[in-house]
Amino acid sequence: MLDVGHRASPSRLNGNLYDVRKSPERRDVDLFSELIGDEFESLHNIFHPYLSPKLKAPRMRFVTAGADDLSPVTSDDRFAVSFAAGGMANAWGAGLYRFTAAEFAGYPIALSDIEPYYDAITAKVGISGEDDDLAPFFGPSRALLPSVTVPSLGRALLGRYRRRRRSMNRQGLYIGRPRLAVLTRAHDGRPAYRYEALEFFRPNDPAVYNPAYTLDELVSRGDVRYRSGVLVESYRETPTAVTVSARDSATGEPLTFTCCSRTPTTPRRFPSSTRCSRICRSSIR
Amino acid sequence: MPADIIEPFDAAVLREANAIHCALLGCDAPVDLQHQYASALRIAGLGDRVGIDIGRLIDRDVDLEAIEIALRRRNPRNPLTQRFHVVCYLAEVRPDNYDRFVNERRRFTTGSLILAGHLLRSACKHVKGRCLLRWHDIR
Repeated sequence: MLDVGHRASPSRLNGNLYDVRKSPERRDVDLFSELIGDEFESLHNIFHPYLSPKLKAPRMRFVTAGADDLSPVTSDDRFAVSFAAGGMANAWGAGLYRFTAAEFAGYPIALSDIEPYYDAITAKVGISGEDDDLAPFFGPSRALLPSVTVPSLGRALLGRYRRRRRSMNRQGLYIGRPRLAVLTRAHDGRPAYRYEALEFFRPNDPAVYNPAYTLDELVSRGDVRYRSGVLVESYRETPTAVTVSARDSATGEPLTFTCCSRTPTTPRRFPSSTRCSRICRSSIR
Repeated sequence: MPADIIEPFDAAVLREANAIHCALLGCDAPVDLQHQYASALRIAGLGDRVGIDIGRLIDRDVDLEAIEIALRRRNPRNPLTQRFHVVCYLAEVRPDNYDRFVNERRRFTTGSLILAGHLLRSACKHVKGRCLLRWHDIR
């Protein structure tokens, strides 16, 4: 796997954001560096076109770092491009919802074809949620972790909704808990969410799923060979090989990678699931 | 803050930071906040592109807050509002300002009254700001 793969720089933020803000010296945190940034990153939206608050904090800048130079697509106010390991999921809202049978209507595949994979993802990622009024829209609640704790305003809203459920449902309004890739108990080697309110400032909360965690797991197991710092520009397929043209994302130096044969004549040496993961030859022009 | 942008600062910019801090929070700005303000403007490349002679307004002891509200209604990204935002961000992360930005007490009635009071105050400031814009010929 070839990837630019920007990674986050370590954050010193530790503990609840509001406690840290009251007495940063107790936790040896420089609030200016962590919340504003040495290059005044958090002030971005004052002077420049809008950037999501989840992307503008100093430690979150790696998510969109270099995108203007590296992407063949010009980003604008409407969308952002990421070259980070794990991509935009480093700053996502962690909502994970299944398509429903009605949404599959007219497609050549049915919900029943997809459901085993939904279940596998639920088991791997760890999704919190509840069997409530939104289940018909979000899918079955099997294997879900307990829902995240709802703050007082949310509880008040849910309480009022429950008291007037019938009339609200008649008008087409349904309220319930979100389905989130946020662990409410330890799962798959990752700890439970700690409600520290740091999602906008501290990257890689282990309780919030990020595809980079699975990538690292695959790499550590030896299932994937991974090389970061490489921007793939194009590839060319022949009957026996795939040649990838790339460049070093830091220096711009041209790179060429040739992947092994994907013909069925060598199935034992190169199983299809890893057909392009073995780089036979890597040369720098 | 990167070492190469710490010094020297334009005294007028530091005074500007202090005046805006006074308008927002009612007290002088700490020296390091003034320096951060000057660095932020420099990095943003806005040090010289003011469009409004803020120094002249400070000399005349004009109500900057009123002018800012009036200008914001006209253009939300005007230079004075941008400068107010910078000071606001920089002040917010300081522990000594925590209670000004975060309310930890449940006080619905008091909060509603305070909010209503500030709405009325903002409306008055807006009217005052519009008059000041005309008076000081700010476009």
